[in-house]
Amino acid sequence: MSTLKGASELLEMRNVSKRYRRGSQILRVLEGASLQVGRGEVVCVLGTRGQGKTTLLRIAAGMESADEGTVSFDGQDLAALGDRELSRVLGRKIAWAGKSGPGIRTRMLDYVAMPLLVGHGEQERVGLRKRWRAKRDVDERAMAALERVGAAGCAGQQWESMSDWERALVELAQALAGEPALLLVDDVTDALGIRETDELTTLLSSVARESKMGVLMSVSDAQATLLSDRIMTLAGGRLTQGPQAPAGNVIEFPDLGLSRRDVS
Amino acid sequence: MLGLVIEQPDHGFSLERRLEERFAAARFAYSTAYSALRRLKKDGLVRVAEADPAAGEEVTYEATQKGVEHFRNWVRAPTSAPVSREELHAKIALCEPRELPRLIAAVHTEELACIAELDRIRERMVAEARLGDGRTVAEAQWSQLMDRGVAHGEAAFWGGRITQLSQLRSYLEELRGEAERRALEQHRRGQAHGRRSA
Repeated sequence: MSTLKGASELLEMRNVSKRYRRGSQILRVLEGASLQVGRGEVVCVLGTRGQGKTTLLRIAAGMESADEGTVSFDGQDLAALGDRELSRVLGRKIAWAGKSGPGIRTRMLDYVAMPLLVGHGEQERVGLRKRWRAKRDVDERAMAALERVGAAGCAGQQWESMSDWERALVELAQALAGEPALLLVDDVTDALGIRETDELTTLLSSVARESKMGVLMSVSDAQATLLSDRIMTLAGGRLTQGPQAPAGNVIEFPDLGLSRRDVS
Repeated sequence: MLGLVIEQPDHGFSLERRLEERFAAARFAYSTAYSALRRLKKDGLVRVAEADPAAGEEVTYEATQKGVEHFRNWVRAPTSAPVSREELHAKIALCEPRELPRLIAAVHTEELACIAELDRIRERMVAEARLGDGRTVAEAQWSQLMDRGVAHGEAAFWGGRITQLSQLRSYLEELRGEAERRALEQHRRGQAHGRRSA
């Protein structure tokens, strides 16, 4: 990695706007949103449902393109990447943890291993013995990821039989299995209690610091921001970097001019 | 206060302490108990019971018959609904259309202040967590666990305000957008009219 790349932020979004057309109406999901996520940093985006948090994360992941503005990952402009390069970056360096689950009946060990198998088509040409060894290697790495989040016991479980907390951990294990540089966590905490929420953020912070991984997580609950490194809020398409206002009980209001009436 | 005196006739300082303990959340000032007692005595609702100053006894307050009746009536009377006297709400209610941009700025300012409050709690939590680095929540010290419980309550409060204010802001911004569009249309119509008459 060149020094220039090392100096840049891991993820940098600049003046990103995104609009959806709904019939004659234009839905402004993001208006000039800017954010940075550094290596080893956990950044929270706080906002209620329907404020565009998932869209923001999808754009950060390169799954969706921005109408305006730039998104650069590790110094590279995502819009400038071709399809092939984009899918390589997405699968290997940017990971996603959500609440969707596998959608098919499968053991959690195989579910966690899924990203490790993506883009390994070249292995089809190698012999059976090597393939078996590769499969064993993948299983080991998936198991290590489960152990890292403290969910080794879920390896043989099915998604349907697990609690929300176990599901969150498995999602996290799957995202971490490929040792990504950037982890996007989409509102995983909203189904969790306060102790589990704290536990999850603590886990994310320590993994982020150890592996110099950046984490951008969307949360709908202020309590989930408490152990993060930085809080941003998203509402009405505006991403607000907090805090900018001086902390304190006295709030300086701009003059509302309520006493000034037109006298004719 | 009258209720406390009826419950148990007591010295001034004990009554003050009981008021503070029973209604901790109300955050009564130290002087509240004494001024309340003075007022009750003046209205004849409490009186000073027999005391022996020679023995160094402090005065004990007890309720009068009138006081007991007054308290009963108060208990039976309908309770007023909780009131919210937010300064910002008054400003919104009295806002004129042309002040909308300034009102939006005011809401945004308060929103930022709330984010700053939330961030202060976050900083405190992170600092505490770093002290016991590597320990999970389950292993944290009792005092730390209690502090987390409180921090979560505070975060829920500020988070709720942030949510409310940010939604209010986008609502006001929508109204401003509509007003601007209307003004633009009017302007265009005016121009078209001007051209025709020329």
